[in-house]
This record gives sequence, C-alpha cells and structure tokens, in this order.
Amino acid sequence: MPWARAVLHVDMDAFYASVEQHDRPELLGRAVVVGGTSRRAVVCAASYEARRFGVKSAMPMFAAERLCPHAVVLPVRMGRYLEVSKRLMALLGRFSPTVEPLSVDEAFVDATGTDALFGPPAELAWKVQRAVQDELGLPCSVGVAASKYVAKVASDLKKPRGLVVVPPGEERAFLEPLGVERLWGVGPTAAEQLRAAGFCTIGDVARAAPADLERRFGALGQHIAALAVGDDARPVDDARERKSMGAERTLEVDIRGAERVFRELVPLVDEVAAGLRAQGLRAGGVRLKLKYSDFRSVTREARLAAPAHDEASLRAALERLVRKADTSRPMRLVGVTATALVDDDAPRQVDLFAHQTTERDERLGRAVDKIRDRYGDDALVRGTPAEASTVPLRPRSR
Amino acid sequence: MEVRIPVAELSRALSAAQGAVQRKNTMPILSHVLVTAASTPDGQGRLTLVATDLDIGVRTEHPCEVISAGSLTIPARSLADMVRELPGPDVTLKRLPNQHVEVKSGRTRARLLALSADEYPPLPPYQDAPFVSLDISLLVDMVDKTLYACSLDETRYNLNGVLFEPPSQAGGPLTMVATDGHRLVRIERTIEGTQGFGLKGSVILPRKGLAELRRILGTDLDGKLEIGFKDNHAVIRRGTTLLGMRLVDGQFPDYKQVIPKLADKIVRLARHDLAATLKRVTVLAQDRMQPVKLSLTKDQLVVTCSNPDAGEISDDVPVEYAGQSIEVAFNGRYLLEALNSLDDKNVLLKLIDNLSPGVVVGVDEPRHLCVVMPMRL
Repeated sequence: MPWARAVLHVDMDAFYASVEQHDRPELLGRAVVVGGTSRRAVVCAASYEARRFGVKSAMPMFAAERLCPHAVVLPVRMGRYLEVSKRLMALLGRFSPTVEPLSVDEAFVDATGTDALFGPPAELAWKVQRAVQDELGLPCSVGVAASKYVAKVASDLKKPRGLVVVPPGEERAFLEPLGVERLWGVGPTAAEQLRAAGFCTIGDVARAAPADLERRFGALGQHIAALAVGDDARPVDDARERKSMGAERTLEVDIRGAERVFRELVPLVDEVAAGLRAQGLRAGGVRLKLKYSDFRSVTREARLAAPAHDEASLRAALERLVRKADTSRPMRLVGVTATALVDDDAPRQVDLFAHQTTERDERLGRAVDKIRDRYGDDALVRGTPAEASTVPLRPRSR
Repeated sequence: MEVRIPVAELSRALSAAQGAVQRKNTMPILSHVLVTAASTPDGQGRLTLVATDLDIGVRTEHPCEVISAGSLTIPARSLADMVRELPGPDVTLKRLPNQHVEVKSGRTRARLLALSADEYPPLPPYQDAPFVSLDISLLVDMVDKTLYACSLDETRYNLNGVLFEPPSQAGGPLTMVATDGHRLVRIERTIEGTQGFGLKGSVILPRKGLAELRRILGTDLDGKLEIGFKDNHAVIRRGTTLLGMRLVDGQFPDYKQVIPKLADKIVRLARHDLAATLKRVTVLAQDRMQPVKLSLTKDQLVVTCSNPDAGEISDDVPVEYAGQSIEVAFNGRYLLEALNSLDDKNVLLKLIDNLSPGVVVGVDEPRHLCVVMPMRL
C-alpha cells in the first residue's frame, strides 16, 4: 500500500540527561540523574544507565539516590535544554515545512510528499535520526506511520535509538498485541476499567463493536474504537509559533496576601523569562493564575507596554495583576504564563524613557542565562525577603 | 422642588453634563444628575445641574421658572433620552413623594425614580479656584496638538494626561507636553500677563478631562475662558458652565531630557508630501505597529513598508538633504500624526541615528515640536 500520508514522531532519548552527557563527555556511559535539589525534589530525567537501576522520571530524588547511589546527580539547566530544543526543531524544519513540537524534546513531522527529496518515509526517518546524532550529538527515537497516533506509539517501542516503521495497512497488526494503556487518552484508571471489562490489549478493543464500546465507555469508547484500528486523521499542526509559555507551582502550604504571591512569582518569572530568551521570543502579555484552597482558580491577563523577555517587565505586570486579584483567601497554586509571543527579532518600538533601563534588564537576563547554563539553574537564584527561612539549602556534589 | 424650563435649555444642560456621568455601575448615584432649583437674590429662577464621576465634574446654570425651590437627583440617561423626544416647548420637573420625579411636557407625563439629593457627593469648591483668563482658541489649539499623544495605557498613569507647565518667569511661555512613551509632543505659547496660574510647578491635566473640555467647547472658540487650580483640581469656567478635573497624581517624566538637542541629520521637506507618502505605504500595514523604513540619501528619501504576509510598497519623497545616508524605522502612524498636527507647509525632520529619537518640527515654528522614537528592526 502506498503512503498516502506519512508522519514521523521524533522523541529524544532521556533528553535532559543526554544533553548533560553531551556537554560533559566524561559522563558518557555513566548513570546521570537530572533533577531539583531541594528536599522534596523529583527526578526530571535519568540516563539509560541509571534507568537500568530502576530510576524513573518523577520519582523522588532520595529514592533515586537509594536505587542508584553512584549516579551523578545534576541540576536542571532549562535554558540549555530549551536552546537545544530550538536547534532540534530547526533541524526538523529542514526535512519538512510542517513540524509540530509537542514539548521540548518531541515533535511530529509531516513527511507526506517528501519522497523526492529524502526518499521513502523510512529512509527519511533514518536521515533525521542521523542528523540529530551528528549535529546535536544526541540520541533520539523515531516512529513512522500514516497517522500521528501510530507514529507516537512506534517511537516509544524500541527506545533508545529506536526506529520503528509501521507501513500503511499494517496499523492493526502492529497495535494488536499492545496493552490498552498505550491508547491515547487512557490513563491508569481507564486502563483498569478496560481490563476489568476484558479488554487487555488494543487488539481486544479493535475486535469489539464500536457501538458497544461507546455504550459501555461513552465518549472514551468512541475515541478508542477509532484509535485501536489506527484511525487518527488529525493533521500535523504546523502552527509553529508558540502562543504561550508558562510555569506554575503547587505550594507546600497555602498562602495568603499579595506580598506572599509576589514572592512566589519570582522563581516562576525567572523560569518563564529564561525560557523566552532561550527560544528567542518575547511576551506581549502575561497571565496570572491563582488556585485557591477550594481548587477554584482565577486567571488575570494583561498586555505589556512593549513585548519583553526580561524579568523586571514581566514581574511588574504580574504584580499589578496580583494587586487586582483576591489574595485574601488561601491559595495553593500560583501560575505565570507569557502570552502573545513574538519573535525576539521582530520589529519593535523603542521606548523614549524606559529605553535604557530595559536594555540594562535585558543584558542582566542574558548574563544570568550564561551563568545558569554553566552551573545549573540553581546556581543563581533571585533573592526575595525572608526566603532563606523557607527554602532549605543543601550542599550538593557535582 | 418644581421648575419649568425650556426643553432646549434642559437638553443643553444634560448634553454638557453627559461626559461626567458615570457609566460603570459602581456607585449608582453617580449615574444621576443633581438638579437644584433656587431663586437668585434679584428674583430670577436658576436651575443648577451637576454631574460627576469623582474624576471630573460639570456644573451648569440655566434660567428657569422656579415654582418651588429644592433639589433632587434624576437618572441622567433616562432623563436625557426622554428630553430629546419631548414635544416642548417647556418641561416641568416636579419632585413627588416616595423618591420620584414627574417630568411633564405638552401632553406627555412621566414618572422617574429619583434618589435623595443628600446622597449626591458634593463637588469640590470649583468656584473658589483663583481664575486666570485665557483665549479659548489658544487653549484649544494647545490641547488639540497634545491630547492625541497621551498614553491610553492605564499602567502608565502618569502619561494619561497632558503636562501643563506655567511660565517659569515673566514673559515666559506656557508649555504643554504629552507623551505615550513612544512619541512626545511639546508646544509652547506666549500668553498675556505673567501669572503662574497660582501654581508652584507643573501639573498633569487628565486626558479624559481635556477630552471633555474639548467636547463642551465644541466649535465656538471665540472669546475667553477662565482657568484655575485648587486642591489637586483644575477648573475651567466659560460663562455659567464649570468643568473641574482631578489632576493626575504622578510624576511626569523629564521630557526635556529626551528632546534631542544635537541632531546632525536634518531633512527639509513638504509636510503634505511625506504625509501622503506615509498614508500610501501604510495601506499594507497589518496593525498599528507596522514599521515604516526611511532611507535617506542626498536629496532623496525613500519610504518603505513591508509586511511579510502581504508584500511591500515604497515611495520617494523629494527632500532637501545634504547629510550622511541613514536608515531608520518608525511607527508610520506616529510619524503621520505628528505631521498632521503641525501647521507649517514645510517641516524639518531631525535625526541622529536609528535608535535615537527623531524630531519633526515646522520650519517657522520651533515652539511646536514632535519627538518620535524609532522602531528597532
């Protein structure tokens, strides 16, 4: 069967850890764990050498250190990962005009009709994988199929450095033996329900009558009936412009009062601003999110006087939003989103009065980025009054 | 309270007051007008109408027939809508028990819900301001040449108005300045007398108050008005109409510092030529922030606007220029508004480099100048 449509799913292998191993070649072949440094920190990424000992993403750092005591624990350098991510997406853009980033380390590439340039989809996938290795020095896995869903399942099957091609017409056979948890939209709870109803593999779902699935599982049933036979017509969305970039944090204890929110904003704004700079973007606006202890949340949004990627401009606008929001009730989460993103090099109006301060703030941000790229995101932290008492400091060996 | 007044007179009163009536529903009584009927010592009937949103306030007086003195507040919007349709020639407003007012004209009779006059917030003592007389046409000209450049961004509240700088010495000019942080306009005018308007320094007149002043003054700009300042308010009086506005409480930036003094690249051109060119090339501009590129070489100015989604237009403007070649980009709208605000036939465009403020000024009128900050490409 010819490829009426071809989709690649490119997924970096142990992305953060691989970047660290690339930047410090002496770590190649060693167990590397990237994560936070506070007492409650979790693992953000583990190299395959560490995974062999059972270390997984999202596991508490102390548990990882117990499983793999010889692992090299490194701090997160988000700015560096975003920079590599930007290069990855640019690289993928050379193979197809239609690239849909899913996150920093994975993307869909629409390979329909690229045969004349790069050969059939399987060859293209191999070329992409080699280019990522040669140019970024990083391993990735690639799945190739006629739909996004099947391509994504395929890329995950033979990690690391996997290359799995599912030719058109063979989707059903390919999915047949896989567990139902590999169906998109099926979480642990839904998987349990499906298994309890006798659906253990995707093949079990594919053999059931769609009407029956819909009757038993509602909208989810309808959805998985289509996926199970490899039916996923969603196009690769080439709206390459990111529309927003955010960070949020659930707090250890509920907080009250604008001043407390201001303090929580500091690291969030730092993270978002660094992300904007790393990706060559500016925010035209900001959005504040507050979730109260009753789990209700409010968002407040404002435009900036001029698109910015420096902490001072973003924080000033967010603080104005905080003052207008209700901060008298206990809050459990604070979130910050940069909106209306524009390219850093897009034309922009220079300000008559703020010109010099803005330039200075931007230089400061870039200097901070450089330090963090070298020594880790925690190497330089913006101080806030009385923060020392809430964040435990812990010596860390590098 | 009961008064009889010509419909046209009441309509004039409501029209003057309408801008000061609050539209938001935060304080219901502020969507009302306060109407007071009283007889002057010489026996003339006077109807006083007051409206305020606490930032600006309007007070007007009108001759009327007072049947019984008193005051009450009436919903401004309903009353204005009704008065517009009344047959006339007169209308009677009469206070009824239970907080109602009766509006009667010809064979039309209406009852509106009113509120007690006691609840209406008192206006600041506008009439006590020490007034100074000023030509209406002079003030209006200065307002028209500055108001457009104010910032609409409420977070830059200190720019939400026009700086009013009284003469610093006898014979010195009255200066008004407005800026939104991207462009700035400064105008100086010599005024009669040497008063400093009783001010210790400059003040910021609110954009909204000035827009309201402009609306109330309309097109009849002959004669004089009076202006005075008292307790953080500016008050303007023309005849029996008083308009007060709360001054912007903020620090106006040091505008003198951003007016370039040593621009070395000076272009002379016909104002209408560049304005027409800017209008032509910005047809492709997608939004209000589209940059327009000026490429200046000897006696030639090429203006280009390109929009990646639409295409590119460029146009030549004949100029007199002997300086170094330079390329600089501006927001086309700012440049166009600056040109449109000038009166001179020929203007000078003064530049330093592509990131320093540019100046647009009339050849014969150095007292009115516009500063525009470039865009970074």
